[in-house]
Amino acid sequence: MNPLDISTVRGASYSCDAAKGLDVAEAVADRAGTAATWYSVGILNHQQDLALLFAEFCRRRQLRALFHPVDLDICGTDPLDDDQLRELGARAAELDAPWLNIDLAMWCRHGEALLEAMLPMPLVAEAVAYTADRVKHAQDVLQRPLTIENPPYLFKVGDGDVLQLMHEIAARADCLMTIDVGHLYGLRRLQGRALIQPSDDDLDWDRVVEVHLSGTYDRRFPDELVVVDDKHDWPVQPPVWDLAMALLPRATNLRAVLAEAEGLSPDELAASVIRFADAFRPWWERS
Amino acid sequence: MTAPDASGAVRYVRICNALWDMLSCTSEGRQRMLEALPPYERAVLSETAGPSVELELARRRKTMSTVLLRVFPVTYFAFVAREGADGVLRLLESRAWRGRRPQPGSSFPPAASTSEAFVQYLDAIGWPARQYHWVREALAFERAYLFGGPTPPGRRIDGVTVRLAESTWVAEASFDVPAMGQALLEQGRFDPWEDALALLKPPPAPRAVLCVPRAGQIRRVRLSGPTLSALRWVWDDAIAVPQGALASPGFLRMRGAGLVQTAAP
Repeated sequence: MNPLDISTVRGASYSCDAAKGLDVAEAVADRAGTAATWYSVGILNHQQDLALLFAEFCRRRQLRALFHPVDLDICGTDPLDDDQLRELGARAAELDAPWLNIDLAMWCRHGEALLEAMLPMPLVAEAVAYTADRVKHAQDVLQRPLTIENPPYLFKVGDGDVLQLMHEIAARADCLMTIDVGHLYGLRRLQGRALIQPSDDDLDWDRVVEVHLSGTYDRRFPDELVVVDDKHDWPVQPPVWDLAMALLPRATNLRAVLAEAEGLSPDELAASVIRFADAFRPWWERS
Repeated sequence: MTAPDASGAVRYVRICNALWDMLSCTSEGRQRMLEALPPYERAVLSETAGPSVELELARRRKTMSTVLLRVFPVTYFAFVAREGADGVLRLLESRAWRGRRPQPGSSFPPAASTSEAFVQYLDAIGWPARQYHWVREALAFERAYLFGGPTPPGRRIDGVTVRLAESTWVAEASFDVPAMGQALLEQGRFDPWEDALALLKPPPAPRAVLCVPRAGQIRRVRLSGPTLSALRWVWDDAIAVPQGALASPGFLRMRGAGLVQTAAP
C-alpha cells in the first residue's frame, strides 16, 4: 500500500449530521449538482446501517465517499483495538472510501467514545513517535491509508507547531494529511503566532489530500485573548478563507475540499460547495 | 507494532492522562495534580491555564449535566443549585466519578455508570441529609426508579397471599417528580437556581411506578390518582385493606396484567 499513489477524483465535498442528515444531503445534492464530487461520512465503527445508507446515497448521487470515523483513537492512551480497526476497515470498504480521515486526538477513553469530549494531541515532541506508531499499526490493520488532521485546540497544551508535528508523524508513518484551515487559524491565534509560518514551506504538501473548511466563532475574553471555535452552522469566515487561499496552492495532490457544515440550510451548504468548487477548479485543471 | 521510545511514550501518556483529569477538576485539584507531576510534564501542563481552559471546563460540565439532568431531573437541578459550577467539578474529581466502571462501546459519559457514580458521590459527601425534605424524596424516587429496590413482602387477605410479581419494586413519591423537574427548569429561566429550589412547592400528586423486570428489560407501570389510592395496599402494609379489595376492578386488572400474584395457603 503506497498512500501517495492517489489515483482518485478531485473536487468539493460536504458533510451533514450522520444520524439525521440524509434529507439535507439529498437537498444539497439537488442544489449543488456537479459542483459536489465527494460526500464525507462521520460515523462510529459499529454503525454499519449508516455506512450502507450513505454508500447507497453516494452511488445514487454519483458522489465519492470520504470516511471520517469518530472513534479511531489515534492519539489516546487506550491500546489500539484491532477488532475495532477491522470494523472500521469494513465500514471503509462499504463506503469505498480511499482513506480514513482522523483528527490527531484522543477519541476514546476506557473504550468509551469521546464524541463531545475528545482531547487534542498535546503539541509536544513525544507525540511524534507515539502517534506515528499507532498510525502505522492502524494502517496495517485497516489495509487503507489514514489521513491525519490537525484537531481543534480551544486551549494550549504544549507549544509545538501542529503542522511540523504532523509532517514528522506523516513521514514516520507514511500516511496522508488533512489540513483543517479553521482549526489551524484558531490554534495560531491562540498561540499568538503569525497565521503563516516560514516552516509551513517545509511541510510535505504532497501528502495533503483533504482540506476542511467551516464556520468559526471568535470568543473574545476580557484580557484580549481570542479563542476561535468551530461553528459548523455558519459559512466560512473571510480570514479562514484567506488563509486557505494563501496555503493551499502548495497542496498539489489535494483531492477533496470539504465544507463541514452540519446545521447549515441546504441552500447555504450548496452555496459553500459551489464556492469551493469554483475556487479550486482552476488549480486542479492546471495540475 | 514498533515499540516507541519508552521514556517518550511514558511522558506522552502521562501528559494525556493528566490533561484529561485537569479538564475535570477544581483549581485546587489542578494545583495538587501539577505538584505531583514530574518537572517536564508539569512545565507543559502549567501553560494549560487561563480563560480558554475555563471554557473547556464549562464544556465538560455541560456534557455531564446533559446526562444527569435527564436522569435526575430534580436531584441534579438541586445539586447544581446548591453546589454551583465548582460543585460539578468536585463531583468530576471525586473517587466515585473517576473510579466508575467503564462501559466500552458506549459514548462518554455513559448514563448508567455516570448515574451510579453520581449517587455514590452524593452519599459519600452526605449531601441528601442537607437537602429539603421534598428533594430527598425526589432522590429516593429517582434512585429507586433507576437502580431498583427490594420487592415488598406479600399481604394475607381473606386467606389469600397477595404480592407484587416476582422481583418487582416500587418507586413512589408524594408528588410528580419528573413534572417537578420541568417546573424547576422553567422557574430557573427567571430566578437563580437556588431561589427556584427554595421557592417552588411540589403540589401533592402521589405517583408510583411499578418496575417489573422481564426478559432482560424493565417494564414500568405508572400509577396515580384513584387507581393508585385503590391499589397501594398491595405493597404498603401501613394501608388498611379496603373492603372487597380482591374483587375490585383495579385489582383484577392488575392481576390480569401479571403485576400481582395471589396464592392460596
